[in-house]
Amino acid sequence: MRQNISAIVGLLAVVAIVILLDRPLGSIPALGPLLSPSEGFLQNRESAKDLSDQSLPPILEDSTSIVVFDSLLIPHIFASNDEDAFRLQGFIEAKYRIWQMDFITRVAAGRVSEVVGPRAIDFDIKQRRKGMARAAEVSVAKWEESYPESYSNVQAYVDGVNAYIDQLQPKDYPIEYKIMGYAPERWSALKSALFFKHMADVLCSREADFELTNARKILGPKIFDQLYPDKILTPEPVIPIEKVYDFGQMDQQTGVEAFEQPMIGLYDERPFEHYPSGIGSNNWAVSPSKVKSGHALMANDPHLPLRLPSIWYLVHIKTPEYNVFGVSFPGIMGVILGFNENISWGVTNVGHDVLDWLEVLWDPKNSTYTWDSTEQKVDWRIEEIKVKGEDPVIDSVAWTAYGPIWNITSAEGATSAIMRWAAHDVPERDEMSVFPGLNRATSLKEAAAAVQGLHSPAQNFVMASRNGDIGMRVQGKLPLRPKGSGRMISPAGSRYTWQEFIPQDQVPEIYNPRQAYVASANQASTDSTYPYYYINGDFRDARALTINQTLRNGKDLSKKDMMALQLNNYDIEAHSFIKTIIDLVPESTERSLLETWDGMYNAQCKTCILVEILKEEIQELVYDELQDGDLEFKLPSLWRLMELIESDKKHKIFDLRTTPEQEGFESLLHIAWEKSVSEWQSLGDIEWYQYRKSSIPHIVEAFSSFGAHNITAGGTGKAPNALRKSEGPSWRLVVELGEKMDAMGVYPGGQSGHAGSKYYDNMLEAWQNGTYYPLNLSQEPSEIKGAVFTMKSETIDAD
Amino acid sequence: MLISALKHMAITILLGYLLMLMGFWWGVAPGAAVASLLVPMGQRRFTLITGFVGGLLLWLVWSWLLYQDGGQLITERIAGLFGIGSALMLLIGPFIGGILGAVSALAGNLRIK
Repeated sequence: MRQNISAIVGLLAVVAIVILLDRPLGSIPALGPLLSPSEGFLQNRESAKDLSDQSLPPILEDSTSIVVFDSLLIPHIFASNDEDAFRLQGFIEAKYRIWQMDFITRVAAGRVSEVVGPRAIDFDIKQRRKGMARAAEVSVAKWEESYPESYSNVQAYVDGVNAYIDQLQPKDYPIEYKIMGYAPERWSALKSALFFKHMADVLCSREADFELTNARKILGPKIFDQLYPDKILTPEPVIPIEKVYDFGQMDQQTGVEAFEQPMIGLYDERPFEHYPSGIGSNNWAVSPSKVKSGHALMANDPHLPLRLPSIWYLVHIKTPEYNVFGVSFPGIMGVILGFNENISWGVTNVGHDVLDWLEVLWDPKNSTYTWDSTEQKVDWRIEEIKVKGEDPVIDSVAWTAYGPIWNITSAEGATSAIMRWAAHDVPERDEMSVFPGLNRATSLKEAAAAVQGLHSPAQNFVMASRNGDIGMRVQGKLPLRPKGSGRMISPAGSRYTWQEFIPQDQVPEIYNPRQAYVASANQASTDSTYPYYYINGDFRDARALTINQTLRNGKDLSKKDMMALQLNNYDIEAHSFIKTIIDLVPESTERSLLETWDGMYNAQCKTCILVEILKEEIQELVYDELQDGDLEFKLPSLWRLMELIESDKKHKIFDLRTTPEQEGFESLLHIAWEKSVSEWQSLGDIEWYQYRKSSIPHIVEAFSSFGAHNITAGGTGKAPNALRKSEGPSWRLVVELGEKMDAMGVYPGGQSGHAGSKYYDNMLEAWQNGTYYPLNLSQEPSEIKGAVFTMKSETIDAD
Repeated sequence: MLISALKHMAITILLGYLLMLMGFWWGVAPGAAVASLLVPMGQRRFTLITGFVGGLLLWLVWSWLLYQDGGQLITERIAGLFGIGSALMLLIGPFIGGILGAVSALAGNLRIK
């Protein structure tokens, strides 16, 4: 009897324990499965088997394909046809990065609540309204209808990804799935399109319409125009001054200024947050005449949010028709940035403003809105947002012919505005042929033709060829804006936003310029002779100035010089600022430090910290007016401030609102100086990298042990080595285009997206130290030294 | 007594292992219960101890072998998420296996007449 009682107790206990451990408890994942040796975290180890020869996926046309994984776990794909190459690329990218591919596209699609629960609902609602998911659907429909060849290439990639997913057992799910408690979903052309739209979001959704509208209201038109001039002309535009634009231009109407429209008051929040500053890039190419070896040189380092798993994935693809090596985006087929046997190419973000907010009168009940004084119908899109553990949330979004309607608030009331974004447009060109086209291009002519399929996000393509040609093309569907339009919130109507686009044969480009180099670092695309109006993005020209000066003055350049320039920590803007104010700074040891400072943001620099604090304190005092309201304001350009300091130290902006006196710049500087010096001293004897506190977090920042912290490298946002807190050079490539392509590259992470792999972050140290790995464009599998393992058909092996 | 204990544990481990391979992480539970059915351990405390050791051994040895086969990095990273060290991380699982084995062994003593 007693035995039975204890047995029943035992039975109940077992059942209770199993049930308890079989499900998540709050934010703790199900511990039973996660800790069990059979399906838990130990199954996410990198076993000996993982690094041994493996068989090919069964979906290939030609089973004689081979993939060799080298000592960095870079796959070298040798395939006999395009589609097999893409199938293999898809399979392999899924094998190493499927969770990242899945999660990033969920974020873009506004499907995070499905796996994370109700706390992501607001985020998902905004993402749906932003329209990446809808734009992706539109894209895929167009690919299927108009570009069957590209569509079938996409399908080959998709099939490869799914071949991997379909054979995955739960014990082999990447660790993030196990922690978050969900399963991988099959891939599709829609997801590839979503990834593309995600990159558009990262690269070309930036505007400052709310901030500038507020600033203009607070400062008044006169001072606003002085602080925020419409055109930031740089002496070193992307397409150099020597370029002559000799085409008959299209008419550009003049927009009417936004403030005519009654404003509801200061906007107190943005509809959605900006991506952080620091997203941009450098690229350049040098003609043989400036190079010691007589070969062209090319360099590219894109600046993106730095995360683990890394956004980029190195891959080498050889087919009978082309041989290409570089980084890809897991989720999209082809090599995005890299080189082949004849050419190399790279991109920086164009950064033109292609997102307008247009205040609109509309009637939700009758589903109409007013545009150019006529009533038009909105198209309702019902967004169903699934929520883990709860009922789905339904949100209805009103789409006009120009974009979705958002609610906008201020302290004094609410209004509605259309979000007009070029990335919503139906593709008019074969965007999925751009990178495959570049991969197989044999000349700059072919490369320039291939890139014309890219409409959004617009990119400055640098190109170089083994025969010595270099070129730069500002590629995109660039809006033909009414002059003066788009900087601020405007009324909904044709006068205030673009109607047409700059024709593809009139976008700024140059080949083999007299100056014997081309360079872009997100600065203004052109000089004032370019006939079309555009708003350049967020970037001033600091990096561009440094890069241009180095290349302009350089001769007998080499690959080493290119790497040194990518790693250059000089911030010309900060240095110029200090030089502008130094005579007004009180005599002191700190002033002497500033006088002798060389403008470099090296890791061990201490003076840099004082410079950063001083810049911040000065601007906070100068722009005290703008601190009204809840919306963070956009800082005027530091170059503009320097000009004002030199020309008018008694300008109204140098007056503190809170005091009856008129301060003038010198007084402000003294106040800021005291504050800055004491703040600097209170930090102790720390170095620049300790102040900047850079890190490379996991995509889910809460998984902090999966990220890389305490980055010790030098660099700062306005130096070519543009490392900020968690944004910076996500990839570095330098190519010397000689008889053989001589390429070196590195990125801050590793080829494997699996946190249990030693290839998860093994390149990080080299990246921090400024070293690069050689990237050899091999012709045969046997050329690859130190290979870790091979993927091939089993029948070949059976001897 | 010792022989019975060893037989009990062997059944727990074998059955548990097979069930876990088939996708049931809680496999030592039925394993230990069946072991008790086939090899009664007499007193409660012997049942509990034998069941515990059986479950513990399976999870521990299996985890140890996996750890040796490239499992160091993932253990370190996961332990970091939980804010503990690798050693503790490797031991929690086996402890759970032990508990499962213990109470299931007890349940297996159910005799319905």
